[in-house]
Amino acid sequence: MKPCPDTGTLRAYLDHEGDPATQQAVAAHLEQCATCRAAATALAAQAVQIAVLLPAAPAPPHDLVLRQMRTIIAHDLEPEQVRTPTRRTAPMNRSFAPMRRIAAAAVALLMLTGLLLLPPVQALADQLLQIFRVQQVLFVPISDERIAELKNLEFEQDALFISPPEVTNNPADPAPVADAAAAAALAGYAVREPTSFPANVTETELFVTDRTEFAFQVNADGMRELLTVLNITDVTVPETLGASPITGRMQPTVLATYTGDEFSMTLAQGRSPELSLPDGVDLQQLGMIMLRVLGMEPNQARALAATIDWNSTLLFPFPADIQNLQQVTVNGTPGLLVTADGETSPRAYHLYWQDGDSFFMLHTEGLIMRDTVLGLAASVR
Amino acid sequence: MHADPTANEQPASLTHLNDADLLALLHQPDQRRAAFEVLFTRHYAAVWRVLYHLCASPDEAEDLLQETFLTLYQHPPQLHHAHALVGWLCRVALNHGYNRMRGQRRRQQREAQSYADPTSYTATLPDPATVVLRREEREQVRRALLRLPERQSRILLLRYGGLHYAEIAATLEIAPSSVGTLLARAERAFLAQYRPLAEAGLEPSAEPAAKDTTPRRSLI
Repeated sequence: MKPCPDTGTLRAYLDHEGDPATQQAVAAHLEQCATCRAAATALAAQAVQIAVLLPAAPAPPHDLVLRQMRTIIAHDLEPEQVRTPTRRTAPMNRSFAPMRRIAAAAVALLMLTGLLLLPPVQALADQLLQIFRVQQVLFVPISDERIAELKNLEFEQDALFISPPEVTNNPADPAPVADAAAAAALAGYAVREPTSFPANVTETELFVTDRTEFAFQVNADGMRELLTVLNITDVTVPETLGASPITGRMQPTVLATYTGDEFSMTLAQGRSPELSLPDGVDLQQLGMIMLRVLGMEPNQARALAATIDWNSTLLFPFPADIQNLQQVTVNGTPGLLVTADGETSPRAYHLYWQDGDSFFMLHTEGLIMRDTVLGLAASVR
Repeated sequence: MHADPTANEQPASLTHLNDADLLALLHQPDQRRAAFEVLFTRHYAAVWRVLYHLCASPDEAEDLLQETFLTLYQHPPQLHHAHALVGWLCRVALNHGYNRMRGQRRRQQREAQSYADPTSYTATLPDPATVVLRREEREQVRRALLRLPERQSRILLLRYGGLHYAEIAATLEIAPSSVGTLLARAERAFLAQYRPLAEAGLEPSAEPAAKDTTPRRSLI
């Protein structure tokens, strides 16, 4: 009798793998060798158990996954790009340039307006948000019905302000800087950078925005009117709220744009805005107003308003049933990921998160996956 | 809608081509898209089966599937064998998958550290009777896989995903003759991990990760 086959050969035999000669030899050997028969039986039993635990998974429908795949690569398949193969990446990088500026502007604007995403909600509530010094974010889901309701009100933003928010200093244009150290020197705080990138970075641009001061004066009557229209009767707008202007100060924000092969990402980082409130304004009361406007039930709003440190919390309303908004975790702190499914940029993401009194907004464009965005954010140190 | 390749306007002229020919067409702008779609259609189910048990949810598997084929589209490999593409795709898919798992595991470890008494965490889990059994089993299978050295879990995912030994060997970049040996060893190790988990039910995964022996590839 030939020497016993090793375990690997037996295992391959069970899978009908290996060359035919070896297969035949193993079969012949097993007929004669009880030890190997027992070993082969044990291996087969093992394989059967695992086959039950790791069954072949039915794949999702072909048309569905192919459609998704097409969406993902769609912007790389523009006819003009396909026709100019030698410059396949060039048109894309070019298209990033204006996008980048818009992104940077959008980021700064979002931060200034309290990071509100929904125009109708923004029109009603964004300036209220400024009143809270931001250290934490509380995500408040708003139902579809409430959004529609707020939209249908067509409430004049002017009615809410005696003087609408205005920049009161004369901030300089964002200043380009050479590196993070230079940015930190200008901004006055330590500047963090991503430590991982989706691909090689071919171009890095850093800007530091100037310090911005702004002021607005609330029209308390207009705000009461809004509450009446919304049938909210359990909160009162403090008289002193509109008595004098509210002033705020936004420290410099650092915008870093990294561009590489088929991607672009902008990281904005800054400190929470500081606001000076008129005397006698109760933050908890304002927070409660905010929660009620966003559609929270009175008892719930009261309980929540009482438990929150309104000196350090930003309310971040988001539509409850919208699919492209997702709460995520970045280095242990809650964040919000927004997927932009525009036609021109099928994969753009905005990710907002905080660390202490610093806030971060990461905007990505191009061929970057959702999880990669989270990984990039986690790598910011 | 049913899966019907003809509904997706695949040019019949390309479907008869082998993988190597289609890969070459990925470099030709006017054929790129069509060639890619034929390759996607041909191989997505195999990649899906290999990924499935590594992932916590079908959504995750779908993400990884897309990520894998995006890599193919952006950086088509130069392959010399007509049948090597499945191996390449599975390797890319598993690399993406394990990168993701490593991120998740680091998070879980951080979270686990905040529980001073692991038993109190277990106590907060819902009554086992209310947990969907199948899901629990699936999670235990996944946990057992992730406790193995990566090389071992990879070979199990590939084999039980339906790949032949030659394809497994190509994916893992090992000799075809060693597949049987490694597979048998991985199967034994897997059951040794799985059985205690199945008996104990779910518990917090606070133990250190299995040592990572494969080189990392960048994830795009």
